[in-house]
Amino acid sequence: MSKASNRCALLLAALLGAAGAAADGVAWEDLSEAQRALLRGQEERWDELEPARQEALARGAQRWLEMTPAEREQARGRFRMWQGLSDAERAALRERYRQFRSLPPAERMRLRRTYQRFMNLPPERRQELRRRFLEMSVEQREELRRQRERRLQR
Amino acid sequence: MRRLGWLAAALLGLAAVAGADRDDAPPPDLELLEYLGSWQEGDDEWLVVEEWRRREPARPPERGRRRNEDEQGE
Repeated sequence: MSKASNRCALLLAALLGAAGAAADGVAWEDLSEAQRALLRGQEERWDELEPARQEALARGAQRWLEMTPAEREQARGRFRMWQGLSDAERAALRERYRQFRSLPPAERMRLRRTYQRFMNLPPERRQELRRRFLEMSVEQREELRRQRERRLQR
Repeated sequence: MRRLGWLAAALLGLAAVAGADRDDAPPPDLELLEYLGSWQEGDDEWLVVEEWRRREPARPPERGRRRNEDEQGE
């Protein structure tokens, strides 16, 4: 892909990200050549797809194109996990995801960092922390969160 | 002859470098692409959310929480 078309595709991806809930859809002609190649076979029925679906497919194709082979393998693994969830679990996660997206960016970043730190721990340590955390009362958890926030502000 | 040997070695080296970055996996299907594009910042977001849900099962969203705090303060 040339630099110019790369820039166009990145701009498209950014616009799609900014569009958020208001789905306007994406015209087939506005997809980059590489995106169209990935979505080959959809050209005929592209206009019939829901606008939100067009946007998700265009964004997904762009993400795929920007991934290394290793990242693609990891994404396939996460997709398998996602497929392994029940419909109810997926619906609950989507609902919680909407709440997550409505949090201020700093709060989302905090949760993301907490998750990354947690995932870097050995599995048995993760298990132990999870167990201790679940045994805490709501007040204790809130207090722990406040302490963590105070530490981060210092 | 010696020059040919060098050329063959260089070509083999280039082929090895190109192969290391090659993706032999099958192309993604539509479902995978749609899944990837259904998250705003990346498909690992749902794992962050899952961990958040496990740690803070009943936590209301920020705006709701602020409203609750305001109501309690009144």
